[in-house]
Parts: sequence; C-alpha cells; structure tokens
Amino acid sequence: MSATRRGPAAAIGATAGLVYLFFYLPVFVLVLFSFNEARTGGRWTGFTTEWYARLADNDQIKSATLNSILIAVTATAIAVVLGTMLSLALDRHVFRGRRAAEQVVYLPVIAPEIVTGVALLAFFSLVLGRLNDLLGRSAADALRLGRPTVVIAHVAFCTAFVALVVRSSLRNLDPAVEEAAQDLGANPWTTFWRVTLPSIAPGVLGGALLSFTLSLDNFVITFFVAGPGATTLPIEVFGQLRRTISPEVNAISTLIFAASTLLLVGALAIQAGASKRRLRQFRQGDSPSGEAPLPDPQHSPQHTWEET
Amino acid sequence: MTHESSDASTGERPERGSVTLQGVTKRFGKTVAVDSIDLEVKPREFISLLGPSGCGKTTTLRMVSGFEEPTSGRILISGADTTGVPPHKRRVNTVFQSYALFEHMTVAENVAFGLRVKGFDKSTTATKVAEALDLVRLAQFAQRRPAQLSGGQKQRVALARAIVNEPEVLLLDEPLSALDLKLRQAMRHELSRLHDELGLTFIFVTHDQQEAITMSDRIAVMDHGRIHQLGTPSEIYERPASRFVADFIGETNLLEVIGAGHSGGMPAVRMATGELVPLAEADNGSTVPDRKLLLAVRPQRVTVTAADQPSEPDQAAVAGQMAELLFLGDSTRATVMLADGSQVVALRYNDAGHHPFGQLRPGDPVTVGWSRDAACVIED
Amino acid sequence: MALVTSAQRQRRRIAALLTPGLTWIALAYIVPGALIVVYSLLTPKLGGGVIWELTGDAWDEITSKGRRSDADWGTLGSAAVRALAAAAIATLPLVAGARYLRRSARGALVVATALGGLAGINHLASSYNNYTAVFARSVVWSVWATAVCIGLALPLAVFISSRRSRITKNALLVAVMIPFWTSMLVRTFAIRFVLSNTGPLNNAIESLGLDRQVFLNTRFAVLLGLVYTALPFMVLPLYAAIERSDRAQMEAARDLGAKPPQVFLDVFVPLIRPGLTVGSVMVFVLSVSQYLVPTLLGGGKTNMIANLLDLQFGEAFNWPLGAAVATLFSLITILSLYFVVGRRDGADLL
Repeated sequence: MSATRRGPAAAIGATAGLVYLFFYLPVFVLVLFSFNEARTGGRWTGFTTEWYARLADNDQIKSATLNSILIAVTATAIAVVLGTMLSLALDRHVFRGRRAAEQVVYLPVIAPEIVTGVALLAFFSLVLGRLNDLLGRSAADALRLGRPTVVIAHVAFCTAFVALVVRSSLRNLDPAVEEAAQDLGANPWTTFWRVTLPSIAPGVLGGALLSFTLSLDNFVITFFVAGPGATTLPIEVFGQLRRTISPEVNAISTLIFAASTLLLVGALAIQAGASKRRLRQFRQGDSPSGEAPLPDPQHSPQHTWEET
Repeated sequence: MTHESSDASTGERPERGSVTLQGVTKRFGKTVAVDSIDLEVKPREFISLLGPSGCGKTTTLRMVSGFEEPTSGRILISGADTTGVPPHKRRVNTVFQSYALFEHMTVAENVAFGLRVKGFDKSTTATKVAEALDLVRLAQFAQRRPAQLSGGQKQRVALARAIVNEPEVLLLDEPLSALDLKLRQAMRHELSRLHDELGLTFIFVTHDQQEAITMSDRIAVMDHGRIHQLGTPSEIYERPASRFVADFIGETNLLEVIGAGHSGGMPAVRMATGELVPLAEADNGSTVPDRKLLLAVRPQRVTVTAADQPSEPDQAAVAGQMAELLFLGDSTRATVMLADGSQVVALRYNDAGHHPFGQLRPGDPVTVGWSRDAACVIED
Repeated sequence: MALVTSAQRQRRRIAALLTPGLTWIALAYIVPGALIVVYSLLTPKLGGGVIWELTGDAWDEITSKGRRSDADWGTLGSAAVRALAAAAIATLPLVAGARYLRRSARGALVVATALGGLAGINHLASSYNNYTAVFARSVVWSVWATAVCIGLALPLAVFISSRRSRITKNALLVAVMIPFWTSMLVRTFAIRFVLSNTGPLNNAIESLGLDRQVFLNTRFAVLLGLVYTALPFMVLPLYAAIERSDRAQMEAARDLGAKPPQVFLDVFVPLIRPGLTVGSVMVFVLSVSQYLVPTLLGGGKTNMIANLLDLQFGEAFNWPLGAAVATLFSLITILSLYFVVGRRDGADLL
C-alpha cells in the first residue's frame, strides 16, 4: 500500500513497536519484581530467589498445581480422542446435519465463558442433588463439585479446540490417500491406524498441547465448577492475589507464564517441523529430476500460522 | 468372512476380469452425475472413459472401485454383483490421479501395503514387492520416501502398489494428468506395455483424447453422465456418432446439410450453399430428402485448390474464399469462408520450403474439397 | 443375512464418530444453557439453588424501572441529544475526508448512526435500573476496547505482513501468539501489579518528582485491561486477512490514479473485511463477558455483566436473578453475532 511512502511506513513501524512494548512491558516488570527483595511495593531493592524457594514450601500452591496437572492430563486424554473423532466425521464425510453438528462443536469457542460457568454450576448442582437423593447420601458423604465436574467441563471446550486443530491438519491430507488404503484392502479401522493417524500426528499432538494449556490456564469456568475440593492453580493464585500483593504471587505467575510459553513454542515447533519436513522432502525430490511439479501453496510454512 | 466378500472374490470364473454396468445411475442431491449407463467391459480389455470434466467418468470409476454406491442399477465385477461390497473387499485396484502415496512410508512399504493388510507372510511380500518394482523399473528406489521422488517416479510407485495385488481389474483415474507432456508420452508406452505383460482389464479415465486414442482397445465417450459413443479409436475418430463426439475428438468441420437421396448414382447431401456433396455410403437418414443433418470432415482431409481448377466427379467441391492462413510450425491451417458465411478449416503439414497451399493468399477464390469417404453424416 | 449397503455403513460410522463428542459438548453447553432459561423462571432458594415454583420475579426485577430513573420525557430528550451529539462527532472526521469517500460513504453513515444510537441507548439504559446500567456499561466499554484494538492491531498486522524475511515474520507472529495463549489471569495480574498504588509505575512517577496517581479501580484501568487481554485476538485474524488479500488489487488502484487514502478505504478495507469482522467479534465477545479484568482492575464493584453473574450465583445467592441476567446476556450476544456478522461471515469465523 502506502508502504512505499516514508511517512506512513514510519508511523506503522512506530505503532508496531509500541504495541510490542505494551504486550511485554507489564509481563517483564512482573517477572523482574518476582526477584525483588522488598516484600511490598514497586521499588527495586535487590535481587533474591527467596520467593521461589518459598513456593516450594507452600503446600496450598503445591496441591493446587498437582490438581491442575491431574485435571489437564485427564481432560486432554479424553478431548484428544473425542476431538479427533469429531474432526474425522466433519472433514471426511458429507451428511445431513453437518452444519448443525459443526455449530455444536464450535459452540465452546464462541460461547462467553462466564455464562458457561454459571450454567454448568446450575446443571451440576441439579444433577448432583438428584443423585444424592437417589443414592440416599447424607450431607456428610454427599457427591459434591470437585475434580470430576472440572474434568467434565474442561473436556467439553478442549474437545472443540482439538477438533479445530486436527481438522486443519486433515485438510492438508489428500482424502485419496485414505481411499488408496481401502482400495488396497485395508478396512476403515486399519486405514485409520496405518495411514490417517500417522499422517495427521503433528496436528493431533499440537491439539493435545493446546488442550493441555487451555485446561491448565482456565479460570472462569473452573471458578464456578471446582467447588472447595478441587482448587486449581489459577483459582489458588486468584485467591492469593485478591488477599494481598506478595512477591510470591509474582513468582508463581512468572512460572505459569514460562510454562505456557514453553508449551506454545513446543506446539508451534512440532507443526513448523512437520511443514518444514514436507517442504524439504519436496525440494529434495524435485531437484535431481527435470520434471518439476508445481509447488503446492498449501505447503508453505505460513499456512500453519494462519490455521492456528 | 461374510458372504458379501465371497460374492466378490470369485474363483477362476470364465468372466474373470469383466466389468458390467447395468442401468447405473448416480445422483448427488439433485444433480445426476451418471445417467443410466450400460457398459460391458471384456476381460483383458483396455477401455477408456473419455469426456470433459464433470461428464461422470470419474464417478463411474468410483462406483466400480466402491467409493460411491450407484443410486440405481448394478455393477458386476467378474460376473459377481458388487452391490454393498465395500472398497476394501473388491478385487479391483485404483491408480489415483494425485497418486495418493503414503508419505510416511518408503516406496517398498507403499507397495507392500496391500499385501500386508491381506496377511501375506514377509518373504512372499518381499518377493512380490521386488517383482512389482522391477516391472515399473524402480527397484533402486525401494528405500526412498515418496517426497523424494519425481512426478513420473511417483506415478510408477502408484502403479506398482496397485498391480502387486494382482487385481482382476485395474482402474486408472487420469493417472497422467499431473505429468508434463514428454513424460506423459513416455508413460503412455509404459502403460501399454504393462497392459500387454499383465493381461489385466484396464479401465482408464481421461479427458485427453490423444491418450485415449493411442492406448485403448475401445473408448466410451461420455458427456452429461451418458455414454455418447462406444467404439474402437478409429471408429470414434472416423465415424463420430454425435456432434459432441465429433467436436470433442480432434478438430472437425461440422457443416449444416440436408438429405438429398442420390446424385449420379451415389448417396449425397446438399450443402447450405447449394452444392451436392457425394457420400461413401447412405447412412443416418441422408436418403431422406430435406432432412436436416451435419456433415463432419476432418481438416486433414480437406483440400483447398484455386477456383479455376477442375475437380474429380466423386469428390466434394464447394466454392469459397480463402479467409485466413495460419502458420503453426509443423503445419499450416487455412480457413475458407463459404458463400453462406460458414467456414471450413483445412490443415496441411509443411514440406520443407514448400507452402502447402501453393500460391493461394487470403481473398483468393478457392474450391474446398474432400473425397467422399472422408465425410460422414451426423444427425443433429 | 441382510445386505448392508455402503450408505448404511457410512451412516453408522459417522454416528459412531460424532456421538461421543457431540453428546459431551451438548451436555456441557446446550443442556445447562436450557436449564438457565428454566431457572430464570423459578423461585430463589436462600443460600443458593432454586425452589421449583414458577415465578416471573427475576424478569420483573431486571426489567422494571429503578429508583434512579427520572421522568420519561426528560430522559428520552437527553438521550436524543446525546445520540445526535455522538453521531455528529463521529461524522465530523468523515466529512473532512469526504473527497476520498465515494463508495465508503454509506459505510461511514452506518458507523455514525450506530455510534449515535449506542450513545442514546446507553444514556437511557444507564438511568433505567442497575441491571440495564451494567449491561450498557459492559457493551460500551467493549465497543471502545474493540475500536482501540482495531487502531493498534491494524498497523501491527500491516507491519508484520510487510516484512520481507519469512523468519522475521514468524518471529513477530510468535511474539503476538505468546500473550494470546498465556494465562489470562497472569496477564491481568501483570497490569494490576504495574498500576497498583505502590507499584512500579507510581514509583517511576514519584522518582520523576511528581505525585502518585490512582490508576487502579478506574475506568482507565478497566479499558486498558480489556485492550491488553483482547488485542492478540484482533492481530491474528487481521494478519491472516492481509496475507490472503491480493496486493495486486491495491497496486492496480494506485496505477489507476487513486490516492493512498482512497486505496485504503476503497480497496484495502474491503479486502480485509473478513478479518476485521472476525477480530471484532472475538474482541467484543471476549471483552463483554470479562470477569477477571473488571474484578482485578475495576475494584470488584459491580462493574460488568460477569460481576453481576458472580454476585447472584456466588454472594447474593439469587440464582433465578442470575439466570435471567445470563439468559438476557446470551440472547444479546447471539443476536448481535447473528445480525452483525451475518450468516456468510459467520462461516468465516469458524
């Protein structure tokens, strides 16, 4: 566009720089002050790792972390299976009601979390109440909100995101490849395990990492369905930072930030690796012979970014 | 094993390798992709389904391989009804347009796939794979990945992967369309050789008339879900049965004529410009006076001479004016305008140094002609 | 044995693949959603939950006029004045740039009318009762957040997209994606920490010899938080739309003599419209339902819709009232998605 003219280009560059500063400055300050000696206040007094050491002794934080990981692993394991199945049905078959099914699958992506949270709270309370009546449980050993209800809620939205990611990876797989397997005598089950799954493995793995991150980080829905028994890390941190501003909260926030950044970079590396491998093999196969097939624009690495 | 498969896997029946389509129709919603087709493919035949994209040829193929179910009608493979038999239980194999190789397996693993899922033991599989790779001359590429192969090599892997299963029928879905011209020509010979060596039935889908004509025993020309004409390549080329076939196979002059019975002892039709044109034989209603018809003449068979030269009695001779001369490299193309405004195209190979149309220049009055066996009559 | 057709087999396979996932999502989203609608018509139980007796109390409460409301005509009158003023302010820059407008004129008129209408409705709603006031505030703040996000994200997306090297591009994109995927709680807390009364920002101000300021628990803090948390959701779709857009069309427009502002309005904006729509919807929906930002940056007073829901389900224990608020909120969200995005662009969204 106007990028050829110096003025607008400079303005665009300056704005971009400021936006990056805006993105990272608050997080950077947060990380920095997690190493600050002073117990309170925003004045730098000296370097320490004391707050991290204290975290290691904080039983509440430890049990909340354990809870979070347990929930994220369980929810991801279920969501990867359900999401992959959904994406196979939605991408590989044409059937009546597909649009409707698609809309249900993507409901968790667009539904406001807060409404989901309170609706699930109402739903679980009703179901648990009825179950307790049915089983004749007393108030002491009644079924309550806890880890299972959190897992049920997390599986629902994780499934949707896994379906989204796996679908984009299915789109890059020529359906004729699966037909070829069947044509050669493989039944649908064998076709899936020997051909489809190995081909979409990076997508499934990426979906799993995404699902794990989303479950680990989720606050709003968890806040309503966790109950007192299943405090996850974000809920614990929220409680602490509402009570007081302590450097320990900075430290745990830094760790959460680092963990999700690592997970994201891991997920991206897997996908980029897959598309780079495709590209490299494509070039190798291409150069020794004279017959160059047209480059497939879908294989450019940029594609992966757009899909995520 | 269910009884479905025992239907499909027939033993050594006499009709092994035959494919029969009986009133096969395929609808997708309201669109009719294939419109009640009947077709009898003989064992060991190389038959081509030829037509423009969307004519129903690929859908027909996919119904034979089992990826689509006919809406009505039935398909018999080696004499057995295939209704309800899923693709993996049919004794046919497909070479896909996009090759559809398994990118995560080596060439050898790709070829072995069909044998492995059928439970062949390792040594048999290895022997058969080696044979198949030899047959397509790819033995030294066995350990490569598909992504490291060229288009032509991928094509041959796809072929080996299909034929190693010893199918009763080999289905080929535009297998050469992704290759460049030179390679396509080489692969045509390769396919013909394989057909001779293997003695399998080949059903070959293509939109390229050259491919169909050079390789097939018979061609079925398709359009709008119907078979317009079924015949040998020369029948299709010399005696197109409809305007569509004449148009689709090579370039043809299509001239409006009316039936004129006989003239000078020969069957004849009358041009829109008034001239009587003799025919080799009376067919397609040319004997009915005033019947509206089309006359098809290939440009290669049309002669253009100066208007003052005499013509043979059994030759067609129509007056016109040279409209355009186009140099095409190996040949020259002349367009002649007739009195009624219609055009006739003539094509001549260039002789070194000689102009194929002599001294004729655009604007000159000319006579176009053709021998009577060069023309055929089509009902419009 | 009956013959199984491939169509039947296909149907069974599809059903087997779909049923578990769809059932799970439906059980967690559709059934509870329907339940919320039912709950809004029931009687509240003290300490949470409902008594299964039908009543319209909750709906009465949120739809009847509150104490603060003035005489009808006065309110209507000042709403009209506000609407006109807002429309006029929105139109001014558009009139100034009128010579570039042509085709965009209609779109500009729509924007001006919408802004004016929003201001009028906001005025009416804020003085009607406490609930409508919270709704209006949430919507208006989210519209502002969306506008600021467009203003910041567009230059950034153009900047990333105009980099030559693919490595630079990817690195810049990853730098946007990191905040996109990291915990909303941590990001909101980072802003809270920086803005707090004894925090780094105030310390920096003090060391410059100025007085400490109160940043936290202000409108400014909430808006900043909304923009900070939602901005990546605008950058990524815009970037994708710019990458997908056909640069040749812009060059053709320049070649045909269009000036840069004309190219921008008449060619560039229409080209990236799908990305703008998707980004705006994502930012708006995210902002309007924000819980952490108003809670941690707005001081925990009843600031936005999410706080209202938290209050009714958590502290006030009036579930039917909360359910009515949630129902109304979902209705507004769904309707605005439907009308603003429309069916065509809605497909792009997914």
